[in-house]
Amino acid sequence: MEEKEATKISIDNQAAIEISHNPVFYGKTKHFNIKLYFLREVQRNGDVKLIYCNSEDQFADLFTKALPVSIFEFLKQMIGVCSS
Amino acid sequence: MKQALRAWYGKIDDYLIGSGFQKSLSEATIYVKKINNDVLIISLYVDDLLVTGSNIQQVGEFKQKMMQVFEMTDIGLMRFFLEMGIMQSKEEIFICQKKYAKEILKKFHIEYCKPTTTPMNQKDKFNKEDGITRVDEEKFRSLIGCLLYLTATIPDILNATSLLSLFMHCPHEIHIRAAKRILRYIKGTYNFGVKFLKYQELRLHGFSYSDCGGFIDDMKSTSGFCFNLGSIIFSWSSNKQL
Repeated sequence: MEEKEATKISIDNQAAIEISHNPVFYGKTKHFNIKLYFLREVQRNGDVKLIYCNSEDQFADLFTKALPVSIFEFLKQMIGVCSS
Repeated sequence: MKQALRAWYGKIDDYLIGSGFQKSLSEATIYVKKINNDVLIISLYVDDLLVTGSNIQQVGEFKQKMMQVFEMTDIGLMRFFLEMGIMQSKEEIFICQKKYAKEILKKFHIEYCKPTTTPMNQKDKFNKEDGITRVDEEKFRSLIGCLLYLTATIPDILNATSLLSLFMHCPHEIHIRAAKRILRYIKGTYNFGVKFLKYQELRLHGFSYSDCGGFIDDMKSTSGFCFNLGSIIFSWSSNKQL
């Protein structure tokens, strides 16, 4: 199976997306992991594209913290967990 | 014989590679064979083989050949594999671990508890020195092990389980209470699973997120990601950052 376009990755941190695009440096952006350079490379090659999404549509939220019932139920439905 | 499994793997590996299969680089038990425009995929688990492919005729031929070479039987469509129940139809595939979940509830004696709506209390934060009473490490480890296996089809308990698995070496009363809460959540949702629907357009879409300093002990964060292909996520992870 071949991919025709870049894989989209949704992130709800706009600053992270900006930094991944252009290498600006100022006092507040330091302590980068080496992985950042890998990310820049794959973005330049067009394999991956970071896009912004709202916190509400962020499915990965479910995997990082405990959530209140309403959001939890919504995300669970969105990722496709259901009863038979 | 201790080496029997290894010998068997060597034998079947040689046979499959000899008959034109290619071993997957990232998963040592997946073999793929390309014949013209069709693919034949085999998943090997000790002496169980799962066969699938784009051409039914080729799958049939392969099965015949395997039955001749090895003593094997064809038990038809996959329904139950590694404690996972699989329901297949033309439009969808549903995978759940109903039976296994029930067994766990029974094993830890909480089959008559009241179910909860979420696997974890929002305000719960754990650290290594919570509480005074240490609990039985062995029981806690076994519980977490069971829960980790359940995350294969219930991704919503992944975060809570991976968080608790960090305290396997020093479980306290508070940790086992949190683990039991996950069990109570499973009690309410044990017939849930993941459903793969038929989709015309397959598009890979990733989601990545991290919290900010969720761990009290060392102020490290959790990062999580999931990948969506078509209708449903198929790959997910929740990790403490290094």
